[in-house]
Amino acid sequence: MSKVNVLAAVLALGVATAVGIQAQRNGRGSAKPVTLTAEDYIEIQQLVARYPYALNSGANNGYVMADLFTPDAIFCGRAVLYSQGRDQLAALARGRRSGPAYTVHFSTNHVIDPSPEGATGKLYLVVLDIGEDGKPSSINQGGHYDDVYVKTPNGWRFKLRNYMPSNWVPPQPCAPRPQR
Amino acid sequence: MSKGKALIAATLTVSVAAATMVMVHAQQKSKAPTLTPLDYVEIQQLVARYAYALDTGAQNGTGSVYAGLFTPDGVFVGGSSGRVAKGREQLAALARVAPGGTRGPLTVGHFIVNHVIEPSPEGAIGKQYLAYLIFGDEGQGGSINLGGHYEDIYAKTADGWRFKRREFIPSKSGPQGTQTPPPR
Repeated sequence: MSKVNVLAAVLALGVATAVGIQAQRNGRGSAKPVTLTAEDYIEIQQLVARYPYALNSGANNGYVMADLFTPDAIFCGRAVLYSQGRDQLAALARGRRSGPAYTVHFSTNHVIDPSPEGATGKLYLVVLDIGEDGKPSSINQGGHYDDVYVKTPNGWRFKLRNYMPSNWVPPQPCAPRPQR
Repeated sequence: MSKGKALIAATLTVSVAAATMVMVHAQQKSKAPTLTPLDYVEIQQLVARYAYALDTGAQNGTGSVYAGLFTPDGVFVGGSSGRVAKGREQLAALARVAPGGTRGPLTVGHFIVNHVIEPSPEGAIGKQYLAYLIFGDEGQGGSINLGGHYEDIYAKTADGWRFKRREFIPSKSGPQGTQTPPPR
């Protein structure tokens, strides 16, 4: 075999190997669809179920609620449009009526979908003003949450929670704000 | 045959018969319908998606997402009038947004809770409570429009679990100690 032929063979082998590696890389995403186990679904359901208790109780100055989120997580709402990070999230659970027996956030219809980042979800919320001291009860408000969940070493956590009251048009989209 | 041999033969016969009965019973028991944890989760997800599909009228008010939650021959039976919708077209019509209607992607109303799921030979059956709430502008305030419960039959298809039959039964008091029979 001539030197030219050997060089061509080596080049061909190299190209074939590179193409093969790239194909493997490309195939990794498509060949292995994102899935969640039954345990993942249940753990995410549990995360979401803990939220009303943490918010309504205001436990540990709101930090029980804040710790359901990742440290850099974002909450968007109607009363407070944007909160990010543990301290701002804890403040959301402090600046309202609360207490260990206070129960007003009722949520249901929890849809969970796997995503490349972990999972996304949505659920309905109705806030009930439960009458105290013989006063009548009433519906305060309702809407739905759009969530992003990520799996951390401490379990599933909210990365983003966006509360959208029914038929409300938010003045701004819920997205990370540029760093100052 | 001596009495001793006859006794041994009789004992053997009874033992074989008993062993056979035990095996048959065990086989029957193993054939009892079961659901995996993922089946339960997927059926919960199906029911959760129902509320969004109906309240929003997706996709783009056509009701097609709602219809897609049913098997192609799926049936919805609803309300005190016993209205029946069968098949994708009639089902989509139930969720379709009427011209000038106010339902949209952010509308919520069907609050479904207390989801019980049981395996059945056909797949699974289930039931839930419904409170249908109507909210004011921007989700503020609201009132209870109606309540009741659903009785479902689910079937596992190539595309996942789907409603084969779903019936809504409005809340109504009646004689104590009676329950509606499971769906057939």
